[in-house]
Amino acid sequence: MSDVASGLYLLRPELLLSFYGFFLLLMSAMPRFRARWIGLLAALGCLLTLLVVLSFPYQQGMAAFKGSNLFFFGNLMVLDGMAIFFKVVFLASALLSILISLRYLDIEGVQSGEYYSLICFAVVGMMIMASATDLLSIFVGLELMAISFYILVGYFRGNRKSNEAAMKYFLLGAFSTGVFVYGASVIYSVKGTTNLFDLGSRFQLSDTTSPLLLLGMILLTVALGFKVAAVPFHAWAPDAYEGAPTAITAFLSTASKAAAFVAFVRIYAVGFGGMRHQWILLLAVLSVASMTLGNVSALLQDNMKRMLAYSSIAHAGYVLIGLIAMSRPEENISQFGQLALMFYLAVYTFINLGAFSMVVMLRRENLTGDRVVDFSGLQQRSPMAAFAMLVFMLSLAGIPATAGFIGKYYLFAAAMKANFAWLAVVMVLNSVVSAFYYLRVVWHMYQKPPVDSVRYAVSPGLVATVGICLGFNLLVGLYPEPLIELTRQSLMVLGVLG
Amino acid sequence: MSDQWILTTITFLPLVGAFGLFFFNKESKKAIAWYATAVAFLGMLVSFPLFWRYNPAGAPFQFENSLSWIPSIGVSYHVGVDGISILLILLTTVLGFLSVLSSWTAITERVKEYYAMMLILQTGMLGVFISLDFFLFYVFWEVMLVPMYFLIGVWGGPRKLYAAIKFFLYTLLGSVLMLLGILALYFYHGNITGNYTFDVVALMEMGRDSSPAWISLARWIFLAFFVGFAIKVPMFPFHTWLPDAHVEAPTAGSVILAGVLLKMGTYGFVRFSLPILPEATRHFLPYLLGLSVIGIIYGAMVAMVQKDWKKLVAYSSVSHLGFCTLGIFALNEVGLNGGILQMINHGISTGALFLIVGLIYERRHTRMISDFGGLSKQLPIYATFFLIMTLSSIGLPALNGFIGEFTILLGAWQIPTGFHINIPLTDKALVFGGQVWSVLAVLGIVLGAAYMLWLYQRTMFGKLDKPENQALKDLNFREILTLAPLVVLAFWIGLFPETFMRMLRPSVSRIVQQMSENAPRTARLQSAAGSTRTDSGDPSMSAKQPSPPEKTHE
Repeated sequence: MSDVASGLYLLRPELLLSFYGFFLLLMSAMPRFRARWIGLLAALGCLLTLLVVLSFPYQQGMAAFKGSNLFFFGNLMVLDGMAIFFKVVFLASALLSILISLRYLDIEGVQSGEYYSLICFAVVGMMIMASATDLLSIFVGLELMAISFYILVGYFRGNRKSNEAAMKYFLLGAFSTGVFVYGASVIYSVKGTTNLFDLGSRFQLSDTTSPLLLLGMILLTVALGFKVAAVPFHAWAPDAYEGAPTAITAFLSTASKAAAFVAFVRIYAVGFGGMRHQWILLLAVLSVASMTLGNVSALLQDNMKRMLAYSSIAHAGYVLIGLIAMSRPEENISQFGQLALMFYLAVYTFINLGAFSMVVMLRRENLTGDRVVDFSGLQQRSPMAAFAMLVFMLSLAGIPATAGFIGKYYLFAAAMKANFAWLAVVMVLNSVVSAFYYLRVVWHMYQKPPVDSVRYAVSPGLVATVGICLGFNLLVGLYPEPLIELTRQSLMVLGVLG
Repeated sequence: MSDQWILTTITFLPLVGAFGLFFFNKESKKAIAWYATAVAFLGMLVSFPLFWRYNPAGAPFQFENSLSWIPSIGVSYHVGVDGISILLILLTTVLGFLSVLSSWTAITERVKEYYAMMLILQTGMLGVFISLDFFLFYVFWEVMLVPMYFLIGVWGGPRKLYAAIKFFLYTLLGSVLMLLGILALYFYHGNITGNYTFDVVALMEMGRDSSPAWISLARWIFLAFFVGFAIKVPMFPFHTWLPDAHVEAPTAGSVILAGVLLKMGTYGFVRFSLPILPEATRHFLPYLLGLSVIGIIYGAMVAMVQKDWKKLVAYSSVSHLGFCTLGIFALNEVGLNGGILQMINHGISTGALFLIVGLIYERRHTRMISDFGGLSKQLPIYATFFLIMTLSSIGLPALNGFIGEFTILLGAWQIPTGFHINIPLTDKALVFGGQVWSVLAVLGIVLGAAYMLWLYQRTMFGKLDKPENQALKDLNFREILTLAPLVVLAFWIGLFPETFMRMLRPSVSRIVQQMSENAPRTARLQSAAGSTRTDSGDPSMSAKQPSPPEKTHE
């Protein structure tokens, strides 16, 4: 097989989902085809793609992809364990977001097929990012994802908040991708390549003092920092999260963040592995600022979506610790940092999706239901829902017996192992602060009387999503071994680092 | 039942029972109360065999069970108990049963959730005492916060929200810092032995390490542990959550808080800090003893001025726990025995006192001491129980408090660490050791007698002049049943402490022995590595120390 043909074969999940997205667009143009069915079809498409992705390790076992050199398209992309791991996370996140959208869009009165096909395209972009090993292919994935999101965030055309959110997200997003391309071009001007492996292998000691290369690295950090919503590039996040359709907020805060982190890992660990002393400080500052500012700002929020937005800024700061631990030259420590990062992102996806599903459930009839007070009396009205939300909140706060604790444990441990004890201390202090605003939701649910009596918008898709997220949180919280083992097998082997 | 599973059964029985509550209609409150009481009673019964099947002369940890749980990070489900933990387990199951029994009429709304929380809490507390794996210990230690948060926050008094959040955040802060300490210990042990494990028995080997790197790290770990445990105890500057939580919690919650939860902190010191970090414990000893004594006196003095009956009892806990820590940090067998026995005593007397306050609050819906007076005429049975428990709390001979406090003072008298005052113009120094600590602690006993007896006088004696008090009913059979076992225990420990001391002694002497094994080497090391002290990260600590230990060994 030629390189292109084998490349296309390895790219089959992305291809399948792209065609599926176009197919959905076509279907939505059919006059008598109900938009809700398209949603179901999209969910089916994600599921099919998930199976196709899983067929890679099914055929050869996950171990075959460890440190794999299944490069294709002239080293533009790779199919390794980390790529597969994150593709599964993206698809699961998309699938669950679609499931909670089905009823939600009806209530909002904007049910249409394009919505679902845009989700599919966004996932394709993310999947490309997960495999990309070249600044250019990362950029292609990033743009595909970002453009789909610009439209999705502003999907409520009649809603001024949604428009404002989309505008802000678009302007800042476009600017940040511009910064990314500029950074890539600066790097190309110095090293003559945009391929991350070439960048890594052409590294020389003199590079650490090259101002142009440093500039390029900082520009890439700015662009990706924007995507993961790390302070000080976070200003768009609260507005975009609040204005966007809640299901899209859920998707945006989990999958797109994870996608940006994959790019972070590939660029820093592979491309700039030699310059780690330069980027550690940069990332440590970002991490501490994100954790602290995110948590302190979240304390002041009355809107649930804004609160979770700030909390997700803080969580980006936590995950950056995993990346910082990856900077250590010792193989086992850097692997540990990567494990912590991947594990946390996977876990965080299922926690946050669950929490946003509950916000979706409160959007009913003419109630927006996105304030913290709207959770009042949930326990009296629906004990199971309140229990689920309790688990999500405790999981976000990192209380044991939930998946969030195991995730946080790994990040703490990564920081301690990499001799960044001070970062671990900052992180634990922050997680105490964060417990306060998560508990605030709990006290509204359990200790306050209900504020309205409008029925909750419960739908089968929503119940399934909450059930999956709840089950995931408790199962991983009590018996994390399988997920840890899976993550361990998916680690990227950092031949270049060290 | 085989020995292996007995601890697991004891611990998880209440949790399984809590799941059983699912099948109850939430309106059938009577049935729920009966069921929960039955579960708690059964939980108590299954824990009794520990008492006679434990062999004090046998292995250090008995009824052990170890299952693989998260092998990739060296976590196992390793449980086992020694004499110390058995006594605390028995205290937990007994108080757990009594507090469930005491809630029948006190709790009228959301009954089902209430009992579920009580039972889950029970599992969390028992889990802390059986864990021999740091990770498992931490999971139980922190999971337990959630039901306690709900107990205070949902069924508590007027300022319940503030109290619940304060309790949760305060304790969380301590425990996450403790987690960092655990991780530092885990990685250090893993790095030098190549065996990354959270197993407490394996990590106890670190107590024998005397390399300079470990000594300086151990001090940091000790501080991390200290914050976690001292907040829980609570020791003096960390006690501010306690009055709020105790006062706002429902009666049963206060009983559990005072009776068991606080003991988790002191248990942590005994089980982890002393054997694993002996050198660091000795290093910080002057401060630990100082805080204990400050706690004793400060708690007593604040208790003296309280207008609220329950708050008075709450502050008396600060004082009594100061005794426990004083005994523990005496670091000799007598002191440790006393400190641990006093933990049990405090659970019994203060638990009973909270029950007593709760009984009157249920009847009068006030706790202000000035609202009462002359109750002994109206409530003779009640007054009798209250009197016994007051005397037990202030340490009257023949009752449990005396044995504990006396043994602690005996231990404290032998403390070598103390104040060194250099006599000007000479090389000599005046050393005030254990005598100072004991004299100060005795002051606490005197103050204790003062506030408790004054409380008794103001509420029970005098004229029965308030019309509301003249219609009060005396205790019914169920209420007597909740208090009687505690009275029996108070007399039992007071008259024949050997039953309990017998359980403690081998475990305690093992800890003291492990600490002394480390001692000579440490002393040598201290004088050899005198210069490393300053760069060990905390120059202020070593500078403040009145006289560096090197001198004493010269």
